[in-house]
Amino acid sequence: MLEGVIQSIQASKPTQEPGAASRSISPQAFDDLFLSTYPSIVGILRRMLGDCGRAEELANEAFLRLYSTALPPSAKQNVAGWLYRTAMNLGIDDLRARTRHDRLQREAGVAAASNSRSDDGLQLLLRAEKQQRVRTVLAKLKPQWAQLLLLRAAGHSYRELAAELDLSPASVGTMLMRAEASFEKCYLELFGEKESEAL
Amino acid sequence: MNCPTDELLRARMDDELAPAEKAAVDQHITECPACQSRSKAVSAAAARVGTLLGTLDVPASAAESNPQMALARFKARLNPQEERMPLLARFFAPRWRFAWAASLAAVIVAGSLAFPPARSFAQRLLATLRIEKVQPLSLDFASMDTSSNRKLQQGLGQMISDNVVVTTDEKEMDASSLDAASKLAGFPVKLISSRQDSPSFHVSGAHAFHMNVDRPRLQEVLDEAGRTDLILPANLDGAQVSVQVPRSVEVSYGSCSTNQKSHHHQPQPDPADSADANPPAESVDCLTLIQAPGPTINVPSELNLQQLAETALQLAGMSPVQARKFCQSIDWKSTLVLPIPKGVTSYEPVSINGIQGTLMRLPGKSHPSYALVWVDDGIIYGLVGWDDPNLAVQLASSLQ
Repeated sequence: MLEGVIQSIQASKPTQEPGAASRSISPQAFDDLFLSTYPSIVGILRRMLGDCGRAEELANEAFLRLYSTALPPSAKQNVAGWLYRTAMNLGIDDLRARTRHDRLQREAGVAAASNSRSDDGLQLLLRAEKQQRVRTVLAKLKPQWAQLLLLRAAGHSYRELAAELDLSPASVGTMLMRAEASFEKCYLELFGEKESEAL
Repeated sequence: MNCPTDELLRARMDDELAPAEKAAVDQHITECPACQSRSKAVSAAAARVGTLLGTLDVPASAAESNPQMALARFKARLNPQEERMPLLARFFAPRWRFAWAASLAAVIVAGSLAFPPARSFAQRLLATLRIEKVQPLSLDFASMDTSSNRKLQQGLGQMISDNVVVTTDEKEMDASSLDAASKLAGFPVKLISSRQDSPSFHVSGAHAFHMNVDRPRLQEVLDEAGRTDLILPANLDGAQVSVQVPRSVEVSYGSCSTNQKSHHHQPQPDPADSADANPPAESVDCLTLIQAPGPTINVPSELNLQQLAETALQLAGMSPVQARKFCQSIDWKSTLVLPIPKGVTSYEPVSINGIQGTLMRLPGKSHPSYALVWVDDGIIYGLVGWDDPNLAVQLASSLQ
């Protein structure tokens, strides 16, 4: 309550928010876009990173860029697509940084160990290891392949994928198959024949 | 039809073909063993990768299920240069808001329950808190500085997402006149009669939310904040608290420049560094009067909020003895507790037409030089000025 008063006091001066001059989207359109896409973007980043807090941070970073950046004219035609691509590029950069520092495996092991209770521990550890391998492969793929696979795994239709990744709708199926082939090839190279049987 | 391409087979598997096209491909596959085999191979390849990617699936998080709260948090974090914000904005900045909300709300609702008539009145739920005066209170929220504790931040965010349900979240509105502002706000808006220039009016929307308190998680948050010594009351768990904040009005006078209007949101030199800077010439003229009806807070009558208030005050830096003494020293039912964080140059009680208020003096010249807060007839007033703080009471006394 007093907080509300003080926030009003705090808000009493500013009528122009940061980035307002360069903003590419109206406040109402921004809110609508946030509400309609935030859950999906956080969900995809969580799959990608396995870290809920980091996923929310990166999603917020993507929205902040949209909020405060003047988009190029081409991006203004498809703001949601620009947002998805920005968020996923942030996620892939983060994933690659983690992979470079070999943190994924350590984190996965720690998470599994800390979460394990009795007989569930081994299953969690195995699952964490599998997740770490999948993320390692995603980090090594061409970013567009990784984006395509993750968005498709999140249930996005071909039409949505085309809009989000700025592709021709007719090419989505072809791109998807190439992405999957690239993923499988990389997985086999990294984790060998034995794992291919598990595939 | 001719044998379909692998891409077409894949699109069929993904149910992405138009009905007529799908029917044609289906018909062809039933008649073509080679395409049946290819279709199985395409499906198997997709399934292998899909299975691996499926290991990344996780249950939906609170943020995913409640984008409304995520949007509210996003907007609260829009100021990345918080440390460089002017003092007034800085100590009410996002990282402090939980401490504000937790301690202040607890203190206020504790007061409402500690008052015997209120307890007797509320068999199950408590009634409105009527605020009549302001009581300043020096606090130090250092222990609740969440900015450097990511786990604590996540805990707070998760708890709020899971437990707070926003039921009203009105947008801000501009009003063209005094009458229009009063009509929108639902109460008679006052003007500063000693100012002859025409003001502008801005109405902030009403807000309401309710939450069920999750005591174990709240206790975890306190533990994470390093306050394992603070134990929350057992019957706090599951308590439903609802808060309704009515519309409020901001009346602005003077030539508040664009820079000045965005003052609190633009990166600024640290006040300590800018104390000798000359203020913009037009800023001295700018004056803002906030008028906000007191909120309604409902809590279960069974809750021992006296204990909770003492906990909140300890969280804010008081010793257990100090907290207990303070809780016993004021008339909670009619008092608005005004936390004064460390860093305010000085604050003093003042009288505005016989009503007690608190005048905070703020250091430096690049931000408001004072903030005066008082309560009259259920309306909380805040006067923020850039000129001489000694004029604040005179201006406030001229309201009509």
